Amino acid sequence: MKEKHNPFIVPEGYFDNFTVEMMARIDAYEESGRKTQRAKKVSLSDAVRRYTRYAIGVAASVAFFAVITKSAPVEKAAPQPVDKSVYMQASASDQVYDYMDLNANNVYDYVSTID
Amino acid sequence: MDSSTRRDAFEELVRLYSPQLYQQIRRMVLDHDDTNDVLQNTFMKAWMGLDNFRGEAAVSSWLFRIAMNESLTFLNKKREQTSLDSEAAVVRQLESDPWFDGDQLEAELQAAIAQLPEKQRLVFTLRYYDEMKYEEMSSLLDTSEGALKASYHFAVQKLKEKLSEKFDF
Repeated sequence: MKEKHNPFIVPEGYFDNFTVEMMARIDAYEESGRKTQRAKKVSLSDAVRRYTRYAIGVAASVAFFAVITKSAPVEKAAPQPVDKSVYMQASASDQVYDYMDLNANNVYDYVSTID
Repeated sequence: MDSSTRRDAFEELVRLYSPQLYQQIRRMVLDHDDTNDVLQNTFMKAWMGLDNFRGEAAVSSWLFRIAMNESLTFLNKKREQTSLDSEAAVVRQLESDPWFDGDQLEAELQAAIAQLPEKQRLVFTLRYYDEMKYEEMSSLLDTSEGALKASYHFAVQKLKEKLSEKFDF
């Protein structure tokens, strides 16, 4: 039986070169994959650093605000004016004397009649 | 398997299967440079899909399926990009191709095969050039033997009609 003619010529040495080129392409693909992984790791640590700085900034702001609000004097309500004119001069013994005097004058009897 | 062993094993695969795959691809895409591109894409896809290969089919079958998918993808893309799909254009291309060793009849035959529907073309080239058994073809293409035989029969009929228009058989 006549062998079928294959009209498709393969350039000489093609398959030897092909294997070398193919493996070089695969090596390049793997290397670019590793570079992408390394770039991702660097980006991740950059992001962590960035967010850490933000967090420190926020914490510092909160702490600063807390310190400011604690040290500021609290304004108290103005005290009610007290008429101290009666008490200011009287000593403790004077007050006892007044009390005895009132008893002696039967002030309480007098008070009960007024009504 | 460490990366070095994996690489060495794959290199052996490339060395072992590239001639066979080259011919199968070349019969689909016709041009040597295009064949080289498709063959490289085939092995690239195989490398990337190595972890997914569970050994359910033979390595040759697995590689063949990738090669045919890549060939069909290439042909579809080429069809979208160029309008030079006519039989006459294919004949001219082959006749001017330094890597084509055939006379006008051979060029016309290849051009006529190139006009067949893709699956029919595949069945014809596997049966006619590789003399593959229908049983093997059936598991490879996931098609029944009956359908494959019918496909081959219709392909032969079409080619005979086309070539008899141009040549006296």
